[in-house]
Amino acid sequence: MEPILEMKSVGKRFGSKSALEGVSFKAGAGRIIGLLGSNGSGKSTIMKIASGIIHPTSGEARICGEPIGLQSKAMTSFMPDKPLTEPWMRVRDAVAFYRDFYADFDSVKAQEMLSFMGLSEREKITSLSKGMNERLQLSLALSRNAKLYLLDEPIGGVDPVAREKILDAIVQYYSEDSCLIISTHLVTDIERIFDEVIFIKNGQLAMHEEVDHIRMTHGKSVVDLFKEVYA
Amino acid sequence: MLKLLKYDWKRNATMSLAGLIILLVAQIVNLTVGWRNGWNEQFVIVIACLLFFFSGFLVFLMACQTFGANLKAYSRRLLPLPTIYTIASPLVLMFGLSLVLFLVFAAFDAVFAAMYDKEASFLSLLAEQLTFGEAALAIALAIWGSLFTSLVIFFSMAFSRIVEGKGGTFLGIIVCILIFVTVPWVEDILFSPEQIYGLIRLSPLESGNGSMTLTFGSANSLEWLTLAFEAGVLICLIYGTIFLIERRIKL
Repeated sequence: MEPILEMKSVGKRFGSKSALEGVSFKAGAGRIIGLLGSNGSGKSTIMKIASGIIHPTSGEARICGEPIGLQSKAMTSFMPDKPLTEPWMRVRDAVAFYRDFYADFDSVKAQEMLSFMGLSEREKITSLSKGMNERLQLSLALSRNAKLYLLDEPIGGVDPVAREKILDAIVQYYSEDSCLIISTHLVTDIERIFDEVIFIKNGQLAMHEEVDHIRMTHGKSVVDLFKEVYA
Repeated sequence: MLKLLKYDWKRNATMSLAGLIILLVAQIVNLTVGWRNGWNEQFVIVIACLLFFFSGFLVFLMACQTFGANLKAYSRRLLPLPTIYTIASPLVLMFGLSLVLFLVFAAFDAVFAAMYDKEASFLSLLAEQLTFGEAALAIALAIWGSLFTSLVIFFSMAFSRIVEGKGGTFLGIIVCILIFVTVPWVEDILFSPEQIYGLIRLSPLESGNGSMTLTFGSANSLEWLTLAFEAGVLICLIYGTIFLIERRIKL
């Protein structure tokens, strides 16, 4: 079966600094994958390359066999670490924006998610708290019926209650025939939802394993292994 | 493209409408106060023209600011749309708002002519003086000039984003100045004999009293080679901006 996301020897340099080096992995359908690493390890760069925001310096990334471009952008739903909305918008404008530009946007799912997250359509985005804003960004990203979901630090900087709500929403609303990649360094809170984990260290792939395999063969939780790798 | 334009308009709607209302109030005050106090009509028209030029400049700044904001916005960069739309949308918005400004000017002109008991308005006098071809050429050249200037600025803004911080800003300014200086210089070397200025052949006629008149005609007076050169530069700027957005600008 064709992988949803395939990265082949992807490298990225910003000037003289190497952000990624020879990263290769495949991500299949029906999997929730944790892209784990410490700050500055290259997680966001991988996300940005897969979403088409930046181009790799070397290697190649493909989404459902398509090279990164307009077609891959139409199949990928990316929630970056910065807002996907614009300051003048109300929640309903942000939903309308997605409906206007993405053919796979599901308005019914969006309404359900907004209600689940406790968001009102009339609220101004600038008046939302950080946690509520994260919930909105996640609602927008998951309301699309995309092939690949990329969530960059979806629980960074929100309180534990909001974290639980966000994780519940991710599990409830993501579709089984797609692949979901979540980058984070807050492993403890999010470990329970992962099927696979990818460890990125200094711009290189340090490990790509199934979570069950880690527990059985290493006899450790993902958090323990994470501490071991990044110690 | 129209959907992008819709959101570019929505982003700027409050400022644009507020600006339009301020312009209308200022022009009404200029007309009525000037008329009641018996101000010289030239003074009133000069004030009005200054206000219109200033508004036009603000429209241009707004287009540049919109383009700059779109460069930095994830919401725009992630859209499955050709990158050229990012360039085209603020330009269409700028030309649309310029048309609105022109219509307001036409209305002002008609009211001014009526209040000051003029036989004909400024625009109707201009229409009498120019043939359809000359008027069309003048409008086309104004659009061409605005388009060229905007694209140079857009390219420079995109260029400035490849280096972070103040260095990028200075780089953008240098690139902008370089293009504005180099293009006319190259045109001058390649195409221009003495009596040609820019895209139009101007014929200076000097009379004995020291005054000089410049005449230009219809499309026949256009310098087609210069136009082709500028079109080439324009295409390079568009491709360069697209390349920078797609390949070089980091978010």
